[in-house]
Formats: sequence, C-alpha cells, structure tokens
Amino acid sequence: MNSMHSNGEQDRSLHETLDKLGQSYAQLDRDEPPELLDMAILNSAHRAVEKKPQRLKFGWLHGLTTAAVFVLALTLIVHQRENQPAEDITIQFDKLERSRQAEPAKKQSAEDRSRQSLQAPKESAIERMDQPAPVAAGAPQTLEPAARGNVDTQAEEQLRAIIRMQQAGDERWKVELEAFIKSHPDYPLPDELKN
Amino acid sequence: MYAQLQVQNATEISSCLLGGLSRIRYAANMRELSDEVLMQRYARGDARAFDELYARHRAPLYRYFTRQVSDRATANDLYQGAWEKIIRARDRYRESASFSVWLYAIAHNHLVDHYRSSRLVQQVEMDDLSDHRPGPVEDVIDGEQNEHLLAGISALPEEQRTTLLLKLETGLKMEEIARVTGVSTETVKSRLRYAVGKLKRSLVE
Repeated sequence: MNSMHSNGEQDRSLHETLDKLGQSYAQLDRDEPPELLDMAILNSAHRAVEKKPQRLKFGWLHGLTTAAVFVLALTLIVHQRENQPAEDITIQFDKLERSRQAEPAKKQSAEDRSRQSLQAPKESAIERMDQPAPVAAGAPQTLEPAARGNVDTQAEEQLRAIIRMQQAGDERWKVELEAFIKSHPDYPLPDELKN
Repeated sequence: MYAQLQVQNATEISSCLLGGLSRIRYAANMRELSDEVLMQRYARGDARAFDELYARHRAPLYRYFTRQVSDRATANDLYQGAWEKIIRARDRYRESASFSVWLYAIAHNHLVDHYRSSRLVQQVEMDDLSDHRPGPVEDVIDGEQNEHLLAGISALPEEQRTTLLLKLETGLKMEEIARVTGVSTETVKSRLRYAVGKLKRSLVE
C-alpha cells in the first residue's frame, strides 16, 4: 500500500518536474527544417501518390498490335521472296521479246539501206515481182540461227527472182546478180546463174 | 458582343472565386481532420493531406533529430530519411494506431539504425554526468541560458535523451513513448527520472 502510494507520488513529482522542464525547453530556440528540405520532402510525397497512366489496362492490346505488325511484316517478306524468281523470268522473257521485236526493225533498216544502194530500175523490177529486197551489202554475216534462216530464205527468193528475170530476158538480172554476190559472197549460186 | 464578353468574364471570375473558396474550404477542412484521418487520406492518394500532416509535425521531428546528432547535415539527412520511410510505408498505416506514435517509432528506429551504422552510441555512465563533454546540440545553440539545458540534454545517455526528447518535443504519453521505443512504461518512467535528476544536477552546477 505504501509502495503504491510512494509510486503515485513519484509519478506526480516526475510529471511536475517534466512540466517545468517542458516550459524551459519551450523557450529554447525553435529550430525548423530548411525550406529546401521541406520542398524536397513534399515533392517526394506528391510524386509517390501521383496517378500514373494506366498502361496495364490495355497492355495486352499493345502487345497484340506489336505481334500483328511483326507477323504482317514477316508475311510480306516471305511473299516477296516467293515471287522473286517468277519476276526474274518475266523480266528475262520481256528482254527476249524486245530483242525479237528489235530484229525485224534492224532488218527493215538494212533493207532500206540496200534499196537505196540499188538503182531505181532494180527497185522497180523487184517491186514488180513482189519479192523481198536483197540483203544489203553491209548486212551482218554472223547472225543468230533464226535470223540466218530468214536471211537464207530471202536470199533464195532473191535468187529465184533473178532467175525469173533471166528467163524473162530481162538484162538487168546481171546487175541484180552482182549486187547479190556482193551482199552474199559465200552463198552458193544455182547452176543457172553460175555462167 | 460586348455583353456576351462581360458575361463570359463574369463567369470566369466567379468560377475562379468559387475555386479559391473551395480550396480555402478544403484547407480548413484539412485542419479539422485528425492526423490519423489525414494519413489515411494520403495513403489513398490525397497529396494535400500529407501537406497538412507535414506542417503539423515538421518542426518537432526536426528538433528530435538536431538535438540527438552532432552535426546539422546528418540531422538533415536523418530527418529527410525518416520522412521518406513514412512516405514509403503509407500503405501499411492503420488508423487504429496513433499517427504520432507511428511517426516517432519510424523516426526512432531510423535514428537507432544510424547509431548502429556509425557506431556513435554514447556509452555514458549513469553517474558520469560531471564528465561533461560538448554535445551535439551545443554546436547550434546560441545563448548561455539555453546552452546549459541543451548541454545537459546532449550529455545524457542516448536512451534517456531519446525518451526525454520524445516527452518534451512531442508531448506523447508514457505509454506511447513506451510503444515508440519498444520498452515498458515503467522503463520509460525510470529513464525519465534518471534524465531529470541528471539535468537538475547539471543545471545546479
């Protein structure tokens, strides 16, 4: 009982002393944190609760879009690679076609030149017979197989025309023959024209 | 046209006034709220609740540190560190706990961690107050009258000094100081008695 009483007194005494001490303590300099420190802490506190953009909500959509773009790009690349040889063939075919189309034009220009080299009566004779004109003197001798076939046919036609002129008694056949020999020096002449 | 502009200006002014008034009203409401409610609001994302809480506790908490450590830079670091811990721990706060107890428990643990890491725990003997060494608080205090009291406080053993400062700065009850420091209420009383006795002797001398 006495100890409880003494404890109570001690507590009261302690509280009284602390109150007095507190009054003295309150008169001490009241330090405060620097303003910069306040700002730093308040900024930190505000940043901590700032609402961040909700990227997670549509995060799956972002991933899906990326995957779709990737698949599309891959498909395009594969498709392009598959089509690449076919296009090459087409290009080669186009080039061949263009060269084939260019050959008759070349022949045509060569014919024109040969015609110009021939005299007017010769032209009229040839035209009269509706035969193709003789190959020009400067015509290329090394031709492709197909082109060589055409030249041979034309040469034969030309020779036949010359034979017909000979048989018809047209004296111009000699001139024609000379022109033919000049343009086709290696072409074998038929027996009728050898003399 | 002019009338329309006037109406528009009047609307803007009134909305500004209303916004200002609502802000003032909001701040006034904040001041009426308890620490515990403010902390819960902050934990839910209301930054202005923290502003009010900070304004209430900044100075006592700052002095709690400045009167415990030797230099101001360390005190500043400890003070900022304690608040950072509070900010990070906001989701763990429960309203059932007193905010002041929670705040000073975090601050006290932060200080103890600092002592442990820097090995600055003062092992002052209980009856060795006459061996008065210059304390941390003396460096920043001017005036002879205050110097004696602050010198006496700074010369106290760490546990007694912490307990006394918690009592003088925060006004926490014995039971609350016991929860902050993690000891029994009787230990708190005992530490306070020793601290007061030593201070009395030092002030008489």
